[in-house]
Amino acid sequence: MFTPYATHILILIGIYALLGLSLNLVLGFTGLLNLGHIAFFGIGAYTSALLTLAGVPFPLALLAAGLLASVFGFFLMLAVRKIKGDYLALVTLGFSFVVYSIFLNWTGLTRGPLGIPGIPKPSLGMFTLASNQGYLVLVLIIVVLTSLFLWRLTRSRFGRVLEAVRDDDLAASVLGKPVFRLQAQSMMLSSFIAGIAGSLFAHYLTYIDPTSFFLSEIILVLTIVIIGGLGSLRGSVIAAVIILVIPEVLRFVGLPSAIVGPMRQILYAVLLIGVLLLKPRGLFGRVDLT
Amino acid sequence: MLEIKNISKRFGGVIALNGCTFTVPRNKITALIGPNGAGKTTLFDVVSGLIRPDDGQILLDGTQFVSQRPDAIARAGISRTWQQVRLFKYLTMLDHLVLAESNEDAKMFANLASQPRLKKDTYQNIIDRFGIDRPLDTVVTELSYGQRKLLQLAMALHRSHRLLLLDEPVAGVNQIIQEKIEKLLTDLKDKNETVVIIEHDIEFVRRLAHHIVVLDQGRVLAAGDPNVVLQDRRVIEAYLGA
Amino acid sequence: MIAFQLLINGLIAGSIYALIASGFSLIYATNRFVHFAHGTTVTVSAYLLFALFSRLSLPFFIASILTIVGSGFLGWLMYVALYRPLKQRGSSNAILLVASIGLMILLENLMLLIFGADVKTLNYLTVSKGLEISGAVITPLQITIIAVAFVLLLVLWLLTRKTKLGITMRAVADNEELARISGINTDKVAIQSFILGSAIAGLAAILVALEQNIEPVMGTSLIVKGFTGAVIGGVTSLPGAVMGSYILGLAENYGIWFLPSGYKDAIAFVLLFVFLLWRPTGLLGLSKGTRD
Repeated sequence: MFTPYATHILILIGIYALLGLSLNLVLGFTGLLNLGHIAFFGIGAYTSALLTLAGVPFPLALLAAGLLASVFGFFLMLAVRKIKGDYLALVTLGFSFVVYSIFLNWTGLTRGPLGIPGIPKPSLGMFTLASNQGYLVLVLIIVVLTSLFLWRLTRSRFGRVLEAVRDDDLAASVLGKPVFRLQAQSMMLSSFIAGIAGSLFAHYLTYIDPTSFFLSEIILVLTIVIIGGLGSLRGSVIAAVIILVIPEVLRFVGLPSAIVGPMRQILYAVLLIGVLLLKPRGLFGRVDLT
Repeated sequence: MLEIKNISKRFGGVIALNGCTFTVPRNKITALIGPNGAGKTTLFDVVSGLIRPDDGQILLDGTQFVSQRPDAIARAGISRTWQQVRLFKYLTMLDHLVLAESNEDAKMFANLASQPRLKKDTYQNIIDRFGIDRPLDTVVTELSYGQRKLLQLAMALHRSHRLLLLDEPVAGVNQIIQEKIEKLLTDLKDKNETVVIIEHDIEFVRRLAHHIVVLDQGRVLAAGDPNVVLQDRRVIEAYLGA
Repeated sequence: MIAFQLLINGLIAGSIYALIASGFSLIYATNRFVHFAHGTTVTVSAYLLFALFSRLSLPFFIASILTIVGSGFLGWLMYVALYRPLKQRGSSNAILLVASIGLMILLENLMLLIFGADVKTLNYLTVSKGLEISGAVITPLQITIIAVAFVLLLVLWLLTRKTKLGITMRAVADNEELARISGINTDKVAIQSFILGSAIAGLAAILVALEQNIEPVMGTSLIVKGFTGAVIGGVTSLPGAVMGSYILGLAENYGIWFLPSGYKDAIAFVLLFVFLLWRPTGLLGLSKGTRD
């Protein structure tokens, strides 16, 4: 149906849309600038990869990826419960450094910089999802389910409470809202989704290494969320499309692959800075970044 | 009903509250007055759980609650307003009233499963009663200062509560709104609600309050019947001296 | 003796980190936001030196001076083109932090694009034999690094205490509102802090380029280490940033006595995370605005 190239792009768009949606939940709706989000992506990827290589069936590994990331999400929230603003951003960034460092150094588990090759394609019993077209269907199903779930959640009263916590957590607590519990739930849900995205990433590429889960990746996801706009779910999805498609134009222009890599990063950085300077609410943002 | 016992708090070198002790009588309007910097808002912050005191106890109907979190204290029945209105700047009036309605909205799974029907009529009645002449779906940043103060008061009253803490409910509003608010507070008095009001307007206090507590430099200077307390020389000196 | 060698290595590393941390701390104290791209100033300066010395064959001394000027200029540019406009539209410190990370990625990849990913060496010093002192080996370059750090930090300390420029900067660092009301042109002071801090980064770049060679990602590691050192000692305090940097340098080198050497960076990351959580004001306990 789709060309192999289009399928590839769409799969990546789906994965990054999940990352954007989940970061938007915690940043745009709950007001937590979690620069460590990419660590959950990594935790999900490594968990799923290692479990399936040890023989665990894919659906369980996928679930475990989300759950383990979620547990880390809880502990991170516990650590930063009293922290705000740029300081929160720094601590969460520090967290992502520590996790990256573990991926790099715990070679007994993760093979360090060598990464983990040969990650199996998803399979359930006799049925193996070998083709990319099939994989795309899997990714799309998960993206659609996640989007519907988050849409329902953020439109409900619960969504309003999260936004109240974002806008003024003290005033929210004085109305009787359990602020820490709400922040923790949001963070855990966000990291769960990021973990799932990590698993999808690992099983698609069949190879992961620590460099996919470091600084430049968080900038990519943050750019998606900011360009899409804080507090807008469709913004995150649309921005994921834009952000992933634009660099592909570079490929068509015929630039050598050594150039495409850094050009793509430069493009993301310029986009991010440009949006912050010129249109800080991005495309569909309902809320300012603070 | 609310017993403040020996509450002390210092911020760095500044002593905000110094062995503050008094009792808030049930079903009465108590006014908390005193010169600027006397510690009135700090006391409210301590009672609503936003600040932990260095020393002392607070008992609500005999239950100790100094160490509790602000949301727990709020759920125990304490409603509070702020001198500088604190609302949620991206949300609408309707959102605010729903937030004040109950804490069922803080349950993630319950709300995913089903949403109760929105009682728009009830909320419309509330804003009519408070005289806020704007549609329910107005974002609160578009309201005037007076309307925001009224909304804040409406929220505090709409919540189920046993005790109201109102921090300068008429500060900074025009005459019309001030009269509106005074009428609403008189209604509270008629309904025998337990209220503590921080206010500077002495005549306002004299008209409204059953009971006055005077705070100066973090401790209680005098407490009792408004007419008696306001004649007290120490109180007069504290105000003149400030 | 190993312990002494580790001490020497720790002092060398600490000196490099202190050079980074001092410029960073100067900028942070005056401007109150985290200028993460400070490490990239080092990277760009190192490449500038490479371009001037190795490509254009300028004499080393001239190239070095131009590099320091260039890095000061880069600091000015970053403030005027990015940070000031953002501040003027009321951006919070969190936004400035995000913007600085974006700037870092931008500049790093620009260097990658222009110069390629391969490691560059400055062939200025011939491979010199290390001197032996009490069983530890140290090269003349490394002695120079420690000496330069020492002298620079002394000069910086005198500058901030005794000169009008320094005192004005400290006034703004202490209380920006008050400084502005007192008639100090805080924008000018901000510019000065960026120029001076970045020039120090330029000096650091020269030494690092000689000691460790040049690659596009060098700045990331350096700013993380420098930032960690500053946090350990106390981010708004210059002596604190310096002290913290030496502590980090020593901790790293003594740490890999016990752990595999790959864990060197991990030690820094963990210390950073731990200090941010438990003692954000640093060991010297000077606060102001880290927990806002």
